[in-house]
Amino acid sequence: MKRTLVIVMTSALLLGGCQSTALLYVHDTSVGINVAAGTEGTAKVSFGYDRETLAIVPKNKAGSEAMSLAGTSCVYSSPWGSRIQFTHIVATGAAAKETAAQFAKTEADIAEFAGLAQKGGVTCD
Amino acid sequence: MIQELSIFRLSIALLCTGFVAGCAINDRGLVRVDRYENSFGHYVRTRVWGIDVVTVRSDEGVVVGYSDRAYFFPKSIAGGEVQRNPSMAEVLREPMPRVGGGKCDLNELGTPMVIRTVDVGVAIRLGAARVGMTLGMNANTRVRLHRDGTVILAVQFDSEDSEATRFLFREQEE
Repeated sequence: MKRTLVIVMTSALLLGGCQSTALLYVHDTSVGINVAAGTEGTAKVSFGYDRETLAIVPKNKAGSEAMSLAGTSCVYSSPWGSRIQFTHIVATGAAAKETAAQFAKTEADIAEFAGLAQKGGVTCD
Repeated sequence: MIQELSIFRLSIALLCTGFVAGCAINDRGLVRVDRYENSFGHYVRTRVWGIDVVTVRSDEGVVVGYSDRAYFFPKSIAGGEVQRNPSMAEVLREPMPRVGGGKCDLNELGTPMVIRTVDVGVAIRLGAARVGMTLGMNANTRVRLHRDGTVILAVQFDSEDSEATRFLFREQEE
């Protein structure tokens, strides 16, 4: 049993070390025993209650900088994850640059963009 | 010996629960399926009590117990261009009406861009992007966009209010 667990954990760490080529947003809640591995996200073994929220923004094709991204998210989750409400608005590439040009002139513009995710009924105060 | 018997009995009990409640492969079998669609994509939600064998791309696995899954598939619009200078305030106004609950092959819709899952019981995940298992409960939300290209994605989801669902997706290769 111990050997199996070590193999699972090692595999999880190896897989988790791979670099993502996609923009990724993950919200995960677990209760009980949870073993997670994969090429995207974090590798972990958890017992009991565990919650994580993460985003991965990969480098661009040239590999020098992170990809262009403009996004706002609003997430509500009940403590046990049984009910969830979320709104994500994401623009990448040229659309991200144009969105940034449109909304990033003043702090009020940025606040307006961030507030877009709350227009659908979800409130994130 | 006692431990082996307990595990054996637990396995039999779980299997019986699955067969009594129903067995589903994707959305086929005894399972509740709700399908929604608008001009930008499809939203499919499946809820299964029993055994759920999931073969949807990037969400492959098996759940014994309760499985609640929501998938958002973007429509590929040939020659579609991302709207320049988009009015971001408009992006969440496109409604997504229910189009039925019939059977469909989810893999024909492509790879889901947004996945929301709730697994209760024993869940084994075998997808390329997500491998692992859960004994208990796991709720996972995942949004995945390819690194290249120009994309605008807006999605709104409420697990208890399907009418509040919104989805917008526009893409242009650079």
